[in-house]
Amino acid sequence: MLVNHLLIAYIVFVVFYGFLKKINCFEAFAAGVKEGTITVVNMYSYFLGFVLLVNMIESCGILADLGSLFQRMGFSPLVFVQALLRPFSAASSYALMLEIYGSAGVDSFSGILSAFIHGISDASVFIIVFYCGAAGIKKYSRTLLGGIFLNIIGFFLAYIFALLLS
Amino acid sequence: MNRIWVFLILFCLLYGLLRGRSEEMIRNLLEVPNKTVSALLKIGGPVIFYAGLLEIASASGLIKRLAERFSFIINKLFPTLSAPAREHVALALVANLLGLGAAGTPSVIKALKLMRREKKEEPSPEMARFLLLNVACFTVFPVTVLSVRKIFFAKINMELLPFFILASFFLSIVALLISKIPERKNVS
Repeated sequence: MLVNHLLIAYIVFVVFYGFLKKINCFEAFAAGVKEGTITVVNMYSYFLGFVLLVNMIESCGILADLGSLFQRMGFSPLVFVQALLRPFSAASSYALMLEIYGSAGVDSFSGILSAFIHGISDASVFIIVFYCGAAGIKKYSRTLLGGIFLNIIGFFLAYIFALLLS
Repeated sequence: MNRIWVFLILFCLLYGLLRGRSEEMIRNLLEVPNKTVSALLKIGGPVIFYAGLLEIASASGLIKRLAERFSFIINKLFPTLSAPAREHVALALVANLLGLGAAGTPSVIKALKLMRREKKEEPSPEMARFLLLNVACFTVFPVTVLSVRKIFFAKINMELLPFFILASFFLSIVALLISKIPERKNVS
C-alpha cells in the first residue's frame, strides 16, 4: 500500500537526516517516546469516557429503531446509523461500512454513499475532545459545534456526490 | 461536553430499559474496560512511536526547515504564533495532507500545548482554527476507503478520488470561515 511506503520513507528519512546532522538520534528518540507515553497515558481517562458513550449508544437499540424509520429513503438504513455514529467513532463507522458493502453491494448507491460518509467527514467530536484533553483545554463547546457543523456539511456533500455517481 | 455526555448516557440507559434490552446493555458495559485498553494500545502504540521520531526530527532541525517552506501559508492562517508552535503546526498539516494519520498526532498535541501559552481554559481563535482544519482536511487521499473497496471488487473506485479531494478542499474552506466567527465576537 502506498501509505505504508510513505511511512517507511518518512522514518528512514528522519533517522538518516538526524544522523547526517550528527545529533544523538537514540537519545532523542528515547526522550520523545517518554513524552509520548505520558501523553497517551493522560489520554486514557477521556478515552474510557468515549468508549463508554459509544458502547451505550450502540447497545441501547435506538440506532436500529431510527434506521428502520428511514427504510423507504432508497438506501440501506445502516447508512443512516453510520452517519449518526461517524462524529464519535471512526472504528464503528468503518465496521458499519463493511457491513453495508456486504449487504447492499459496494457499487450500489448505499455502498458509495457509505464510502463518502466514512471518507469525507472525520470523527470530529472524538478528535476535538481528545486533543483538547491532551492539551489541557476545558471550554471547547464552540469548537465542538463547529466540528459537528463540518460533519453535517460533509454528509450533504456525500449525498450529492453519491447521487452524481450512481 | 459534560452536558452532552451525561444526557446521551442517561438517554441511552432509559431507552434501553424501555425497549427491554437491559441484559445486552449490561453485557456490553462489562466489556468497556477491556475494549478501552485494547483500543488505546492500538491507537496509542503508533502515537508513542511517532512521538519518538518527531523528537529526532525536531532535534535535527528538519521541522524548522519544513516550517520555512510552508511559512507563507502558516503566517497567513496563524499570524500570532511563537516560532516553535509554528513549526509543529506546519508538520501536523503536512502529515494530514499526506494522510499519515498516527504520524501526525503527536505533532498536533505538541502544537496545541505550545499554542496554549497562558493557563487559559478556552481555546484561542487560532487553536480553534487549527483543530477545525484538522477535522476538515483529514483525507486528501483516503487510502483505507479505497483499499477496502478494492477487496470487495468495487467497479467504481478511482472515480471517487476527485470527489474526495473536492470535498476536503471545500470543507477546509468552510472550517476557515467558521473559525472566523468567534474571533469577531471577541472583538466587539
